Amino acid sequence: METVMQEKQPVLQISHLNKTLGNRQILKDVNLETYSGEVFGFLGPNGAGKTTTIKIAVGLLSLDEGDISIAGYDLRRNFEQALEKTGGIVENPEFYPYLSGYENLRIYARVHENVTEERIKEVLELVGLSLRAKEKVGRYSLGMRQRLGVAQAILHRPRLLVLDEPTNGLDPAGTKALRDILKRLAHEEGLSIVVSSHLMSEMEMMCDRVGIIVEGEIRKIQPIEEMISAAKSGYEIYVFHVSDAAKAAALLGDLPAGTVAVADADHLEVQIPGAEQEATLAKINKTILQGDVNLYTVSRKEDRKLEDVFIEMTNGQGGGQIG
Amino acid sequence: MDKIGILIGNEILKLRRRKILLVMLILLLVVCFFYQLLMGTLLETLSGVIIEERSATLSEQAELVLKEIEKNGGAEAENMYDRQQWYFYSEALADQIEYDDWRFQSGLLDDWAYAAAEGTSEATELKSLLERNDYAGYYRYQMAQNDLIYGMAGTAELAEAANWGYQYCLDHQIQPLTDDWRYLKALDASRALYQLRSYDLRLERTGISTDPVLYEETNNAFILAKYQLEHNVEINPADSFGQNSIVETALGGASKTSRFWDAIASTSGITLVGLFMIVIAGGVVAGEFQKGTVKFLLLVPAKRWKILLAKYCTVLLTGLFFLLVAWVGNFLFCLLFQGGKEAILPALFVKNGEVVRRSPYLLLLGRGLLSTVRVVVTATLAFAVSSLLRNSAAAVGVSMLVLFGGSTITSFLMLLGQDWGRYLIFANMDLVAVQDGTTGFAHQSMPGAVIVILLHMVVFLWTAFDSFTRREI
Ligand SMILES: Nc1ncnc2c1ncn2[C@@H]1O[C@H](COP(=O)(O)OP(=O)(O)OP(=O)(O)O)[C@@H](O)[C@H]1O
Ligand SMILES: [Mg+2]
Repeated sequence: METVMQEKQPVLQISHLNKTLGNRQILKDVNLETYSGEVFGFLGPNGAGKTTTIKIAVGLLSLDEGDISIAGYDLRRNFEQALEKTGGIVENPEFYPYLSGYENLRIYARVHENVTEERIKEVLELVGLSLRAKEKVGRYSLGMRQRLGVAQAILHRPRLLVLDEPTNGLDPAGTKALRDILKRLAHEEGLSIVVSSHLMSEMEMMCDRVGIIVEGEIRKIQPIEEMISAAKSGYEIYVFHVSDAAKAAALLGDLPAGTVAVADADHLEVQIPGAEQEATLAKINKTILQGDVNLYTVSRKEDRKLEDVFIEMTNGQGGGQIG
Repeated sequence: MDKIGILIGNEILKLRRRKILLVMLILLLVVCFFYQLLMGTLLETLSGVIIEERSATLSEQAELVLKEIEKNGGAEAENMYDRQQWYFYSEALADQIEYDDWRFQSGLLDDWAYAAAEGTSEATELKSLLERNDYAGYYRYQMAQNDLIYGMAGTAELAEAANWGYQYCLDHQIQPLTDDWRYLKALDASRALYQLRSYDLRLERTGISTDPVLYEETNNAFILAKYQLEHNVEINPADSFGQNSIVETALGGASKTSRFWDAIASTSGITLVGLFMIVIAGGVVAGEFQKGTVKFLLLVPAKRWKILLAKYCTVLLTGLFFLLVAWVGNFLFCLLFQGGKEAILPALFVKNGEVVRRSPYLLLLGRGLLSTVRVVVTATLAFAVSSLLRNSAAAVGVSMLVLFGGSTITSFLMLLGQDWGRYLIFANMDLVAVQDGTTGFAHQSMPGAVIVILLHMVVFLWTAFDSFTRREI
């Protein structure tokens, strides 16, 4: 499915983007393309340049060098057409606190083509704000403002949706709802969505492709599956709850089962290669039981590998820190 | 273009929901209300009280003063001033003169007291005029005096002009009462005529000619005053609009203007509107940065200059709205407190030597339009400051500082006689004052002021648009 889409025109195309603020070069030759029907994760540590890139893409900051086009419109030459096709939240969504949520959306809707009253109600429903739409935004909680931000961003049915840390301030239910909304918009309605974050785990759950930016440079752009399998690099870790971990480790010493580590007195962690996983597991179980050690449970260790890869990739350069 | 219309609509929508707008509106109406109350009823009551008190006590006061002066010797007192007082009050008692008597109001009583105290030759004649209560005789006496004085000075031509008013009052049996507008108007006409004759004389004798505008205006003043006398028109609303200001300053006209039209033509509410503009314009751009809503504002398919233009238009529209409220409020409250008697009077002008009638509402409209200039310039200045800053309080503060500081400096330059001060925007903003000739800079003219204003506006707007469109958010 992905291959089909990538043959299409990119919705957001950033090429050779350079940006200097003050006397620091914030972005260094950033190249990025996102396509219709995908959620693109824009990942990087604090201060990497995610917000800066997004601000340039929506015209809040000027670009020093490079080209940006949205839905085929050059940002500088056809600014209005490009922005008509763009929706977004940059950093925190800000609204007029003395207006209601509904009124804020209406103001925004008026500047766009073809946004009806029904559409406003529809998006309010979608983000779960219908009941409090008449209330002044000044009384909204952070999460409610974030939801309103999403509503505003998708209001005019843009082709490109740029969300800078959209889950910031959302509760778990809200986060999940947002993930579902974004996936649906991309996969069913064909939007191209860019979501920035510094949390790999979050990316993993909703993105189709991930680009990693560190110190203003794009380090890697890869589909999420590839990234996950590369991170696993062919093995998984299983945790064995046993009566005597040390004894069990000694028993397993002769098996060609990968690295064995004693976690504590009654837990054992074993790396098991992807191939013939079941056979290896069965063999380990048998060995432990035959060695007169009680085996209570076997479980797969929660997978933190992707996060680790990300940290390695960003910390290795000594620049960014993970918040 | 219609995008700008939509953006303006959005700005108005936002502004309308701000409580500050309502507060300003109420404040403006309250100021108009109290100003008109003061102009309409309070001033009248106050002056009424003063007159009543005074006229009730002339004879009583006479007795008191006379008793006092008697101690110093009465008519024989050492002090010249005491003697004068003595003659003044004793004659007032003897002839039963009160404050509303022509003999007091014309100054005859004073003149006599002075002559008697000094022992000059006119005393006898003046006393007989007083005793006979002969105002025609008073006029004849004044005219004879003028003939004598100007005759001796070799400028007999001027005597006729100086006597014109007396002659007119004599012919029309008008007593020399300062309560009577016809007497005052006749004196005004006389003064204008005198001025004209002295211009003629100067040209004839020294070859120095008079500024033709001043000459014409003076001539017009005479024609108008004569017309008003002949057609029994006491009040000319045009006087309240500074239409005859050049002549007024030259002649020091004594006849009264319409209190009704004075109250309406006043631009006192406009200062307040200017102040409001600073607050509104100050918040309109800087406020978006302060609240962070600038991202919301700019994340739309509209170029930045359009967004800023919409804001500017909205500020101007708000200013016009406030001005309209101020003028209409002024008018309605004035009607409320003074009644509509003078509201329907025509305004009189002189055009090519003929008196023409025009609606004073045209004058009011003209003044209203002129008054917008100051509001527009103030708003534009504040708008430019606002689009340079990120905090609306700072924007308001800086604009206030610039405006009041600038005005103060301009006033100082004026007092110091530095004529170049008229090139500063602050000396030109108030076109009403420029038109009325009351800015204090002698060489100021309407076209000059317009040029100065336009130049400044260009600079303000260029600053605002340049900084806003380049700004990194
Ligand atoms: N106006 C500015 N002037 C100078 N430097 C700036 C300016 N704005 C941002 N920066 C710098 O640019 C770099 C990138 O900032 P940016 O906000 O794009 O990071 P980010 O990836 O969004 O980080 P975060 O995850 O914390 O949101 C940072 O080092 C920041 O200090
Ligand atoms: Mg950021």
